[in-house]
Amino acid sequence: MAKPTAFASETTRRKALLEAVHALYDARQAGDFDEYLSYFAPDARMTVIGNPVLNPQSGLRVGRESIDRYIRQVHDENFYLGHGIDHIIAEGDHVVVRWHMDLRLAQNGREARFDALDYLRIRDNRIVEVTQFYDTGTMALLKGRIRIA
Amino acid sequence: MTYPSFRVLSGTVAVRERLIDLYEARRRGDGDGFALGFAEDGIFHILGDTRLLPETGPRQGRRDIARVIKRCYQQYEYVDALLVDVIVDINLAAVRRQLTLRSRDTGAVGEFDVMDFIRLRDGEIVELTQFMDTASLAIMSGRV
Repeated sequence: MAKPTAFASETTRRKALLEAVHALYDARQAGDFDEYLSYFAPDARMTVIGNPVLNPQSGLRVGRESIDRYIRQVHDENFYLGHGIDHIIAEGDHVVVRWHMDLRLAQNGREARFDALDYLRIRDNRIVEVTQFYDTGTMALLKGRIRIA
Repeated sequence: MTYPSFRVLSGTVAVRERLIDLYEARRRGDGDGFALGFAEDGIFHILGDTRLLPETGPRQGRRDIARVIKRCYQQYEYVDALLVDVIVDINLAAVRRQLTLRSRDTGAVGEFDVMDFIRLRDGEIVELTQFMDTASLAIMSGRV
């Protein structure tokens, strides 16, 4: 009987993980920042790839307070028109989420869809690390931070 | 001399080892070797704006995939390519790398945290989408 129990347990864990990932991204999209932050460990690290000169929201944030400031800033700068989770890859303590967001920039009204890949590390059911990957070049063009030579 | 082996690789273990081999081929600029890991109709896609970086955009089929890998190798010297993490799930994988690249056009060097999303079918890659800091790469290459 051990095998079916273990299988059920793994299935249950996976189902819970998928639900938690969807709830996390839904909270972000809805602007429910307290709910969003509740998924992070107090000392969590969030990195958004890129050069801060070209993409001002790039860089490392450490701790919930810093992540809170970041998420509020990007919601001030962008209107999030929609989002969707395309794939979730999970192995051990690592989770990778491929998702997309439709956004309109507050500064110039331009709209675009961006694909993103988030690398999450989980400890004691909380996110301790998240690194967000996306096409920084297209974002910098959209915001007028770089121009084609 | 070849010795018989009881070593059996299957499932996620086999996928992980295959991916590590493919990325080694990619690091060497062996576009043909890398492309062999793809299905005939597989797609390789560096996300980005082709006006900034001509290597970006989708490529379908082993021939075009090999070609773009060779082109990347002609554009950039892979000073260092560290495989940071390989995460394998059922028919999905993600590969995180730390690259040190030198633009052969400008001589500028940059470090890049790169993440690839991979979809597999019967052990072959049907989609590989690469996410990286394309803005910094464009600056390094003198494109902007």
